[in-house]
Amino acid sequence: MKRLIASLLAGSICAYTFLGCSSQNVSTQSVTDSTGKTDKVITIDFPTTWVGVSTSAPWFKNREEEFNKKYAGKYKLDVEEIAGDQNYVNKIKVLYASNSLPDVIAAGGYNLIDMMQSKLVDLAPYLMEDPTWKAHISTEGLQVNSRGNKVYGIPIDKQVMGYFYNKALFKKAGIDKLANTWDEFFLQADKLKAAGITPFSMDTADSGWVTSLMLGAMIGQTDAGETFMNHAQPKNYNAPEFIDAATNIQKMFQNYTTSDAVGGKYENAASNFFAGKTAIIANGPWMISSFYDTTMAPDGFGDRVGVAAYPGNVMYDSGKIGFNVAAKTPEKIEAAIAFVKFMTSDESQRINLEMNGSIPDSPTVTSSKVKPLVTQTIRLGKNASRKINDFQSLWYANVVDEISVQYPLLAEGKITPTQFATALTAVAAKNK
Amino acid sequence: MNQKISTGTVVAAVFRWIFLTFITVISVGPLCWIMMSSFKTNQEILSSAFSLPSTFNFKGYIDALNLSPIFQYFLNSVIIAFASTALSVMVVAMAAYIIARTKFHGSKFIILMLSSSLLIPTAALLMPIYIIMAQTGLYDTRLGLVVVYAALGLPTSFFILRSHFQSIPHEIEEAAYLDGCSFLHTFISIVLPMAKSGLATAGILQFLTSWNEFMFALILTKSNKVRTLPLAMTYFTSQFSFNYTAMFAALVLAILPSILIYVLMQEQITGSLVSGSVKG
Repeated sequence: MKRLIASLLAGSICAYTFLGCSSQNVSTQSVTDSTGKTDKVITIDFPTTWVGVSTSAPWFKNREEEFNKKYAGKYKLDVEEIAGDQNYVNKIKVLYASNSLPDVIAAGGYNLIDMMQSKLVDLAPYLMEDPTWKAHISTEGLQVNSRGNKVYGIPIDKQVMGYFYNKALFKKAGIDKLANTWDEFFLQADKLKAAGITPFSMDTADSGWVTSLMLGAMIGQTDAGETFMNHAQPKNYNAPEFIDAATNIQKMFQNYTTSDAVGGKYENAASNFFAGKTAIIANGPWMISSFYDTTMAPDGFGDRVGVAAYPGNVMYDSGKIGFNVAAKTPEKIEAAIAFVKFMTSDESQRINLEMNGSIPDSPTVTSSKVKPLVTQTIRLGKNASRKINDFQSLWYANVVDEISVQYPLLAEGKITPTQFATALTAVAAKNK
Repeated sequence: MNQKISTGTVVAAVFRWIFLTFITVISVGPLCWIMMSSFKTNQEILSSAFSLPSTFNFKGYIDALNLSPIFQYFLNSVIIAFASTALSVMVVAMAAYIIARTKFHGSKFIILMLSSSLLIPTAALLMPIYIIMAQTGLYDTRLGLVVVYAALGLPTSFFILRSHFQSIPHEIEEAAYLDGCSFLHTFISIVLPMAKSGLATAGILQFLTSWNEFMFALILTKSNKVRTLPLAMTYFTSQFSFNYTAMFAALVLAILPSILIYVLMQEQITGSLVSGSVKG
């Protein structure tokens, strides 16, 4: 019997090996020069996370095919697939340390500019040469991607985020209007708890994205807090508004969220919301398509979801870190800029909006082919009283990493909110 | 003839069966869970970990194949894992034999160097190894990964094989020399067959290390034609999206070789574990 099982398994191995030898190549790397031109074809090295289950994978595939068609014989895109944002950031850091950065980088909103600006191309002169291109970039987008007078990134979309809530669960708990203040917000959380509903989806792993959005929204409810949440690379987290927000986050961890929040990743937070186990989740409009995906959420779930601004009419509405150019030779820089221009063009942004719900950076891009929740998010962003930026775009990378270490300690009461702030300050101080 | 079965015997048998059942459940349970989950939808997986799938369909497997170039990566893993294992075991066996059998100036230093290399965190090696691979033209090649994996597994294989060679009686080799065997002939025909269990253990550990290694595969490769299976697993979750059905299906496809290796080599593993336990 053992020999039979071993033989079957060995046969399976051989079958897989044979299948692996097939000529079908699902890589998106190479572009065939079909024009037969003798001009030298410039290769653009571009690693990307827009592969696999990434919501942007279909959009990127579309853009890659169009770019290859448009620049056939002139430029060749050499795509490296790196699934997972953290894997991408880790590899880019190694390449940076080895002076081997690729020609174009797109870190999905992670702020790598401050760490790597010495190796990034200043795009300001190229923007000056092409005023039409510059005019399509929003002021916030340019600001987030600039350091002094130098521009290190070109954005494709912007961060416009509120929180999503389950209308059916709110109705079950007897909540008929959205909270205007954070006190009302927590009173509603108590009502949800009383109705047997866990109020919040939260996480701690991978920079605790969902939790950190709540943290930032609480900080941004005052003038000082709004300034803090729009200040690049803060070094001091011992501000009263930060500590107050951390106190509330600790309270949320300890009383108002699921048991898998501590140590949990985004998937845990999202799946709890999809399954109706939690009533509120903080996230961006790219999540909206998942509400209508029956492999993720129940049929009709999207119609039961609403989007709201945070109490105090606070919204994340800011520019986002975009495409960086790290090419070294003039020809490669020219090719990389052509690629970045293409990827951030109005057409690319419009398709990104329609396919992914990503809010375009360009103020001139609109579309009617979007879900109502996307339109509502855009409107909430425009009408917000306070507009803030997200931590991943603003804070030092090591502080973003450290927050995943400190959140579980805060949640379990092993550190106080003040100690939480002090820990982040200590890590920020390591940056020059 | 009826033998009276004592109460103690019955109780012992019951405890034995409970213990064996427990060990079986905790060993096989996770594998069964992964296999069942590969047939469930995302919703079913997330709503209840232990429920059975409502339908048995292979959509997860189809998605796994569509989302990632899993067969290509599987082939690369097979080639790289086998090659690094063969290289490591072959080279280390020769080194371990010399260190085990002969005393020369520097032998203790070599042992010390190999011991201390076990203390170096692999993350600290990422950048220097990347630079070496890039400058030697081995970046984004299977050979580069083979060499790196063989080197990473070298200390562990060395200590396993050295202790096995030390357990082989000198008299057998002396008898071979007296019969006219050369040093190399003795090593290949006499010593290696006697160290089969040690070679199998070192080989299995090296194979599993090479098969499961992720970080160097990510840093030292770029193209799909070279990448290995652990990287394929990352295609099923991203910061804001996931497909657990496809991920479990891909896991099933990925763990089958490890199970196969163990099934084929389990006698050698067990033999190696107990080979030093009985003297004489």
